[in-house]
Amino acid sequence: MGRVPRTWLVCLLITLFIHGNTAFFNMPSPWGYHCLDYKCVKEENTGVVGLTTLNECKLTCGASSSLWPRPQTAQLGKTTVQFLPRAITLDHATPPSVSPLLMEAFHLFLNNLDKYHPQYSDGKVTWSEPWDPSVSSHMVQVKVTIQQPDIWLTLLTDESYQLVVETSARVTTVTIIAPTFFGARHALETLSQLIAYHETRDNLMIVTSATVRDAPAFPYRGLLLDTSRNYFSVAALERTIDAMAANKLNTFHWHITDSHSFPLNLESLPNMAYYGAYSSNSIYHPLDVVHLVKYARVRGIRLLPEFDAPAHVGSGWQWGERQGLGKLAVCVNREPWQQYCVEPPCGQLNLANPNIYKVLSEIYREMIQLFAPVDLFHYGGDEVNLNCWNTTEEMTSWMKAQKFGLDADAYYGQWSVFQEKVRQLVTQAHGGVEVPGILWTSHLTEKGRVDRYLNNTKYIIQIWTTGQDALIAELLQKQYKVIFSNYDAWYLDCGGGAWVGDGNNWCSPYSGWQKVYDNSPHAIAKALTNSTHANLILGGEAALWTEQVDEEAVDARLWPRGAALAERLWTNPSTGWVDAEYRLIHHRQRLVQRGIRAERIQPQWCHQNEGLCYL
Amino acid sequence: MKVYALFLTFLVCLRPTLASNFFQLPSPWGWACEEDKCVKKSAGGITSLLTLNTCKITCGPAGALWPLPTMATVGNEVTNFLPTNLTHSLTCGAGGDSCQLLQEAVAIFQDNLHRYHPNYKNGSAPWVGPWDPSTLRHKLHLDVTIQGGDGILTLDTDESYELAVSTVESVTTAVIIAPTFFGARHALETLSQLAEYHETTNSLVLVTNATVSDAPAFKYRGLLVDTSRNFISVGVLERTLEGMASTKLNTLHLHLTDTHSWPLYLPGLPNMAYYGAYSPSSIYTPQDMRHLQHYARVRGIRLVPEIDAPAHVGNGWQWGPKEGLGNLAVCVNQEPWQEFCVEPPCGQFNLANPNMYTVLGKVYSEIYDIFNSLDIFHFGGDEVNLNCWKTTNEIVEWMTANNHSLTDEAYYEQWGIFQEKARQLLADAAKSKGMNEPTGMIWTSHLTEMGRELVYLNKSKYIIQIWSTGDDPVITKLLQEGYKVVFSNHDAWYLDCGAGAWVGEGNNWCSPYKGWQAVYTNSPHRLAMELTGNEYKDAILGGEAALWTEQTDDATVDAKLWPRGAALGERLWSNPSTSWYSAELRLIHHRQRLMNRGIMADRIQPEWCHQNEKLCYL
Repeated sequence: MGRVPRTWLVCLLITLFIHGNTAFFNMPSPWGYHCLDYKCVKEENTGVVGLTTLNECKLTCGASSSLWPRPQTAQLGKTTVQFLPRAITLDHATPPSVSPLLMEAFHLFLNNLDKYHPQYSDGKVTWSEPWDPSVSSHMVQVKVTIQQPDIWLTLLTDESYQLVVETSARVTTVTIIAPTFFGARHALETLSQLIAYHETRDNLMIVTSATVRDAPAFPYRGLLLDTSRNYFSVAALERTIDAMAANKLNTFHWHITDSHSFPLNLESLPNMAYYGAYSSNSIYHPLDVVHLVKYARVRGIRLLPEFDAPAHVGSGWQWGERQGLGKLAVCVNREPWQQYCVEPPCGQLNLANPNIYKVLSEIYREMIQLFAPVDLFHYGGDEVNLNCWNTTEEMTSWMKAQKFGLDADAYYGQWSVFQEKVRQLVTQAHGGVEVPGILWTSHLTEKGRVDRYLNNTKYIIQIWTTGQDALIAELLQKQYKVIFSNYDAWYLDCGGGAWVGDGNNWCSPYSGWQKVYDNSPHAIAKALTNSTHANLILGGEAALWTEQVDEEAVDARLWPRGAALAERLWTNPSTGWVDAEYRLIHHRQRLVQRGIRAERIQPQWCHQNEGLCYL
Repeated sequence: MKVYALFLTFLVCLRPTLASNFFQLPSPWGWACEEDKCVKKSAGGITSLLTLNTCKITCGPAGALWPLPTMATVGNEVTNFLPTNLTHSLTCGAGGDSCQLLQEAVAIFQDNLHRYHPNYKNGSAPWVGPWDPSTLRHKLHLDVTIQGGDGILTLDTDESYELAVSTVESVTTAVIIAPTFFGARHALETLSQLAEYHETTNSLVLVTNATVSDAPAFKYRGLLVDTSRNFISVGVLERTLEGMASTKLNTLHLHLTDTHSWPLYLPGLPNMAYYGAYSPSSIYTPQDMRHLQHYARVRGIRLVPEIDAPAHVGNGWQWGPKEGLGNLAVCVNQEPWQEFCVEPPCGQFNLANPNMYTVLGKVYSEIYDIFNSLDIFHFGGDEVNLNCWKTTNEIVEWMTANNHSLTDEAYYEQWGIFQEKARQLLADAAKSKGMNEPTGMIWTSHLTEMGRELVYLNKSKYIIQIWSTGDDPVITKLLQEGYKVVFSNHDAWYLDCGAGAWVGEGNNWCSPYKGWQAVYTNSPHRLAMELTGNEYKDAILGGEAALWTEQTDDATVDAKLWPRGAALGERLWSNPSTSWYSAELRLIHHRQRLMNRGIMADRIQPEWCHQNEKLCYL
């Protein structure tokens, strides 16, 4: 094209503007990008060839492109080829058991590509012509090989994969080889990140060559959501699982019940939700749970149920006396709450009433059936308030009658007896086969008590104290398997206003994504014990307690900080957050495209001007 | 009764296979109003229990009204009705397009009633019977009189209203009398809060008797949204206006432009957005802005556009040299940013280039083309970095050539002269459209310190917006000198505080997060009293909470603004002498109303606290 005098061009455009507002913006953008020292640099597009669009630069510039979480090893080409989503085909060689899962995962992959289109809405998108013939004829052939027939995730599942992208003439071939379905679906996530929307052509582009060898650093990569303090619709849970899938997180820890509400509708015990749900709309029906278990699995995620006991119970347990079972829980909604629990409302199980075990047995039986197959079960088990029990007549008379005494150790003893009984009930509910249990750190896991009460072959301990707590050293030295959720970095609810009283909430300040990213379980273990204890640390989990969030704002609390967590747990980088920043900023945009209302962490200017938002 | 018991037994027997039917049973819980609190009770056999919503709108001295009216008597009785049964008679003694606005406001009111339905979607709600004949028959009749005004909100507009609700047989009449359209629409908001969804009959409940006499404590009740650091779409700004309308806030201050981006498309200066917008889809067209201006006005809200200058300019101003106009801005994206501005990217006007004034005058005139009428315009005017100018050859040479010294004071003087020229350019733009010069607004800055304000800022022409802390002696000085002020002290009213840092690590500069309690407690009169011994009621026009958007875009604006914006709303409308503690129950419920209106407001307590009033205390 010849050189057009600029003032003339502007006049023409102003004229056009009268007819169509956006005509001006149909011109090529005055800006383009080029890759310099692994950074995308914004420059004025003065006819110089070689400037790319922002997405293309993001795809080819950094050492790890904009892959998130960063793979263990990746060699990536610096060129792209354009194509249309309809040109993607799948060949697969898999054991028959995993074929349906793979087909479904591939369908999700294609749908995720559609979501890159800025006008994607409700599952639909229109890719508009005209396209260059080289674009409309380009083929992308995906070949997937899965070696093992496993269809359920366990702590021993091999989630590794290899991904090779090669391009010759009009065909890009993608070869994925994975030991299990879970590795293969992770490979599809990675592949979706080697593809991007081309802003000016209305088609997709893929890097022409890539070799990725990848496997997670930790087998347990979790996110906790509490659905008792506030209720979350099934759709909000699905959205959370979608975002976890995009980050290769693999465990959705569902803190279903607490003293506040009991949203789980159990067929065998309908009174639980009838009395305990916030309303008849705030309920998870059995089919919802079964649906979510499947929904999560095809996204590479286990649904880990928690049934918190013997504290953190209350709402939903009020019907015992009416049904002739006596008081199942004590201190329910008791006042002043400060004397009986850590936050309103109070409630603890009534250990003096043997009927609680009948009810618990039903609960466990139905939960294990709904969440089947369970490979882990979370017993909760934190924050028992001894004063509740010790000021409840029925409890103290029982303790005295049984000659247990009324001192703290006597109560801890009964708490541990309770724990052993419920462990047996869970085993029974699981057809006699033991299920590894998870318990929060608590008074029961303290120095001198933990090995008296909890067998390290039967329990995994989830640590929620700070990352400097000496208890961590104690647990590791006593060979407990652990999961890190130290609240000083991995509690995502911190930093809001207070919800009782004024000021800020208990674990303020807010933990920014940088802190979430830099929280390394191995580094913490090393600092406390001089060993990384890599074999005992199963992984980590960020927790969203929901006193101050419901589905309106849940996405923003979880994302993109959940992505920072994911790279820590998948990649376990030796580098800090600074090296991850550009990729995370771009990954946040991907989450938004997938329908997740993730928080923005910088001005868009920083996304367009890499490396200039520093301190 | 017997049939019911039999039915119950039947269900209990069948429950393993009919789990969801179990929830068709009446809830085991109900509520009773005791000592101005809704108390959750076991429903076993007691017939006088209320549903939660019914209790909320009738319990306590003012039900769940937000913001609290000046005077209100709210009855305890409710009637069931359907929002389709709405009639109105409007008496309009006002000028301008007030009467047309009122018609629109009534339609919005009716839509807001439909929005109480939990399955409201895209403008309609699935009201499904069967209903009691008395519910079907019951009608709500609006009898609205506006006495004057011209449909334009100014700082002199009387926004008061009187509302009387009474019920005779199957008709509830709401009589509204207001001096202006704006009072009348506030009355409709109040009336909408005397209604709620009735959880068990799929209809609405409405308080049968109420008397409200109400007027705002402050004339200026604002929210600021920054659309430059991140782009905020028109849809999200509409939602923000919805939230403001429901809270009787009356000013949306749009911080339209900054160094980061220039999203405003000006037909006469297309290069501004062409170079300055983040992308072709991140722009506001003149139609968008006019649409928002009307959308706001019919909801009782003025738009105050801000074009920040002479600092906070950069992206969008790069095309000067190419068009033969020279550098319009200097230090644009200059590095290391710490030396030239407060946050990346940098940029300030080139005071040495007279073409800058030509373009700025054109920007103002385009602003007038878009907005047509403005009673307030915000000049920005904060955070000028002298080092930028002092290290720019072109400016230093110009200073020297014009015999100005190169001291700080000399640069402040040039800034002051710039401000006066900018004001005249705006006044000219207004005049050329046959409009009066709008009142200027300007942030506290070095120009409002050390007596410079008295030299450069005429107090009859400017309102000063205070963004320093609430105990800053600058406030004392400005009040004593007779300036009109708007409070936005960042220690309570900056809604972006408390997140992680966006440059470096740790937490952002104005951490911690300001909870709704801190927002509510922040009283401009009390701050003035503490500093000066006087409340300065005339000088303090009001207040504004600011959402700077370095770390927010469409995805999360709602949660940052709401329900904290509602806490601000009550401070500025009611200016209560009581603390946040006595507002808590109403706010928790108002947050649910914001959700009904489609605003993704943050939750501030477990739902348990909404159902168990006053038990989430410390």
